[in-house]
Amino acid sequence: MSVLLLKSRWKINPFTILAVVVLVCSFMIFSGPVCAEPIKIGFVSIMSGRVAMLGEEGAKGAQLAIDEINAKGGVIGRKFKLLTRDSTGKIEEAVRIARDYVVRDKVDFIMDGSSSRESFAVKEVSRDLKKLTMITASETTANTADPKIWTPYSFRTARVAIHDSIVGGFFAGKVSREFGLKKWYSISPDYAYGHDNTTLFFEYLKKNYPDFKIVGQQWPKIFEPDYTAHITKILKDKPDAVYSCLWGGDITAFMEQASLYGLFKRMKFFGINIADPLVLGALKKGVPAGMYTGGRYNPTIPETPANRAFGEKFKKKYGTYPSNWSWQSYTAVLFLEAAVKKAGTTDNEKVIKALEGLTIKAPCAQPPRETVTMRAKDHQMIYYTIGWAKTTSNPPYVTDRTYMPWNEILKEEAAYLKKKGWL
Amino acid sequence: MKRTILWGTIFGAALIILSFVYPSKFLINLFTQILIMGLFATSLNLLIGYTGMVSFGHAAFFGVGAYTAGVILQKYSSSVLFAFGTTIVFSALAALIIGSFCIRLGSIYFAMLTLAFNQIIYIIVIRWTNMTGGDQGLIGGIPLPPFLSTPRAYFIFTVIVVVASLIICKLVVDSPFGAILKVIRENADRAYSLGIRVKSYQLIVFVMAGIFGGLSGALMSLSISGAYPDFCYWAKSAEPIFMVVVGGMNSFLGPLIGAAIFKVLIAFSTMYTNLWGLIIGGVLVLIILLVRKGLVDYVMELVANRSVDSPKRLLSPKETG
Amino acid sequence: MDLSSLIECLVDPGCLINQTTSALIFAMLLFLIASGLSLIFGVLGVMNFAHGSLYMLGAYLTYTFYVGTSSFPLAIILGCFGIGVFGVFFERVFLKRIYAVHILYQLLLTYAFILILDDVAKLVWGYEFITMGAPDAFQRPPLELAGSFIPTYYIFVIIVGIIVAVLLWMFLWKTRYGKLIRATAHSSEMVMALGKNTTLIYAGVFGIGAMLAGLGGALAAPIRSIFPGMGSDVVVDCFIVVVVGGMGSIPGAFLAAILIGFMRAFGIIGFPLVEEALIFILMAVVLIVRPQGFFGRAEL
Repeated sequence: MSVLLLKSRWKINPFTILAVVVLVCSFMIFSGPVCAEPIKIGFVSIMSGRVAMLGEEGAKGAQLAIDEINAKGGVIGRKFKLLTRDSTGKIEEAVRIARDYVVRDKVDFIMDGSSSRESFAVKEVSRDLKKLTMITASETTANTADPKIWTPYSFRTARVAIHDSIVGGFFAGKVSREFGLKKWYSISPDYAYGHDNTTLFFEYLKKNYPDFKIVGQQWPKIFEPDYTAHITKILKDKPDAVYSCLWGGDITAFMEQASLYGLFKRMKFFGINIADPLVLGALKKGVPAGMYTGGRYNPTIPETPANRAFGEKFKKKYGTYPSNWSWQSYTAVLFLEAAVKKAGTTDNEKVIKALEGLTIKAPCAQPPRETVTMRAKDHQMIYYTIGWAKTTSNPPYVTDRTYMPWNEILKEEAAYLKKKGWL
Repeated sequence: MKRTILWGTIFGAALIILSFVYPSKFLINLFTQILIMGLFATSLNLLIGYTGMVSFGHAAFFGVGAYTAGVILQKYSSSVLFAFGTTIVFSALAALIIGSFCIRLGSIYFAMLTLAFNQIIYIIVIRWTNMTGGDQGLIGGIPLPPFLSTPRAYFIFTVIVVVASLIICKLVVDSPFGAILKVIRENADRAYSLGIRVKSYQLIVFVMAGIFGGLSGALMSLSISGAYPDFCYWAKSAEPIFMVVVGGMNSFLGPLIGAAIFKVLIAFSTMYTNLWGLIIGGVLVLIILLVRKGLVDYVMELVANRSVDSPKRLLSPKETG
Repeated sequence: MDLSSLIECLVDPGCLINQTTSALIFAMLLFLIASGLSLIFGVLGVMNFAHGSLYMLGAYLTYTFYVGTSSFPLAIILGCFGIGVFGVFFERVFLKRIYAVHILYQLLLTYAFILILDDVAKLVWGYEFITMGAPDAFQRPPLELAGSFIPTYYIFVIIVGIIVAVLLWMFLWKTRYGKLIRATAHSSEMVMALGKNTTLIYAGVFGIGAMLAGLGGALAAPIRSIFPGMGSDVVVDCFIVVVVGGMGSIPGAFLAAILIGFMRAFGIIGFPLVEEALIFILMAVVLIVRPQGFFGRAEL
């Protein structure tokens, strides 16, 4: 029936157009650019849809580091080159892209800036193809800590959930003692990150301030648009303090809605993911003062010249301050540069040896240190800044920065890993 | 029947030989995924093209298959044969349960109910953390026996499973059973009045589609060494529909070609831009508005119309009906 | 499961009012979006998967106009009509060409527009999430009533929702155009035989449906995060509303939206973690037991 419609209406054969498009596409795939000169890093992440910010912000950070290194003439006489490709949010695409980077683009290193799920899948590629992979966004503790899924080929320069919780509990304990916060509440996203992070936070709060009780917990699903029912429930239960690890657009929506209910005026609020330029910049009606926040990225957390300079350089190039994902991928490139320099080659096995235990200067280092270290035993970066602060209404939006000494963080972490049977 | 098996075998053998003659790992990876998604789309087309039931929840079976095979190989057994056998049983069971509710409904209600079951399966996967790993997915890698551990070996395995499945599907749709399905598609009431037990036929084909959907899921989870909740999220159900429509729902190989187009388009567009949705969406709109049918269907009709004394049987079944 | 807290809440007036208003707020926005979807389905027979994207565009447009004009009422009107115009354009240019083809093509065309519009939003407004914030007039302490809190903006949203529901009902049942639309839903051939232009009715209905989605987006803009892809979960919720309420039925959509609002607001207390599954089970049960939904016609 539709044959008739088709013939009368269209003079140019539409199939020809399509055939040409498909042909051109496949031609471009099969004859892609081949160039062996620079040191290639294949960056795979989500760059479209709801969490496009992960990939976009991550790629910006890595590109800034690469531009700086190349301006100095590169390393071992070669320049860096960043390839970026959108996983489209599909895990099998992320895997395919990571494999393509290795077999077709012949990249020297993979960089994975995607969600935890994709990150676990890309980790399997690095194990399988024996390709060094820098993980720059996944914060799940298990990624580097669980021996069952550990591989020597992957390294992580992202913050880790367990560190965040230890420091969060330490900081919240301090504030609790000061104000006598006895009744606690939580509202966190209903997926592995939210549950793990929140449970651990309370575990460490207990260590620092045993005298509290949890009066209620809310688990909205990720990307939940409407929190009013959760907010009214919190208001009814009248806790002294609320903890939340909502992030991105979820925390801003929650804050807008909670402000209308006057929630922040009635109780202390601890949001681990608030101090990030993406979140604070999105709050068009101003940042509520007096909340407590973890410092994902802020040009003044840590308050060091190196961090300031990094923030300003980034802002000059892109117009906004870097976000959490930007400094993590930036640091990953710094590590790769130093390791390649030390190894004198991009041979992965040698670079891995060079990376293990490597200490480099980086803007994200927690004072008083100026360096971060790639821990040899589990390939996790340590000594990066984990700060907490109180919000203010004016830039840089934070004050009263507090840090926990890293030797104490490491002590707590070791105890946790032992308890989990991961050590 | 012999012809189907012959051509199927030639097609499979050609792919395998090609992987030796032109051993590009990039192409092997791409073709592995195309074949897997091709089987997924073909299984859906048993419902859409051959029986006229538009399912919007086919990812449910993809997910069931992926998780069954993944969990068994990771936790219980190292036998791939056992894993695939269990996959077939479990996806058949899931399809039997879901199908027995869904087939009672007409077109759009059928689509909506499959969508609802799809989401229920998704929530089960997310909540059953002990077994499935919850929203993190089944992580830590799925161990494969040594004979499957290289990309080419796995490609050959995929070719064998997919081609065998396709041959079975083709034989079924060409059989008297398949002929009855087409009668049901064209006019269920007439079929019923002819004494055909319409619901039984629909349920059988639903279970069949579920089994092959499950098999494609199993192939995928082994291929990327993990199973993830995205596999059974409703948006995943839209992908095979895309492939069926673009490739052509009235030709047996249409969905497979559709899968190739989908995968190549994504591989190409993500290489040059982050706006892949604009490209995929644009191509889809062009095909829908300009061609108004799948590409394979279109070509088949062109061929049929060119030859002057074209016998009717060359036309796709819909045109003769 | 936590039945004791649920009962505790049901007997406490503060909690009851709190959760009831939050149920109504959620329900009103959901109703606005879903009623458009239901209307389009009832008259055109098209399952519009891109409806969530229209909601997203509505929010973006409102945000842009609000930044440009600093007037919230103007921004709502412009945003909502902007989406209406886009809806008419979409129907005239794309959708009308495929009414005669397989239903799958309509599903897929609208699905294609989810992909396209998400990328367009990303191109125009960027990948970062945006929050608009409630206009200054509503930035005041919430009303207190029997120990419960009701923000003024939410009262505004509930009132608008009810007004639109009433207007829509009056339009469809009391005006000539409305009767024509309902007649078209019943039998477009008959309306054509009467010498009426069904083409215009189709375009108009799609425009109204899109406008309702746009209004939902406009009212959501001050309180929700705006980002590419914000419509993709909403459209699934809308499908549930349309199915449960009966495809094509506006009163059905209204009741179903309120039912789902209440299931959520009290499910959060009584059945946290499974409240989402309950909603899909409700959808499945309704389809199995009464496929046409609460108010749908038996045959469509």
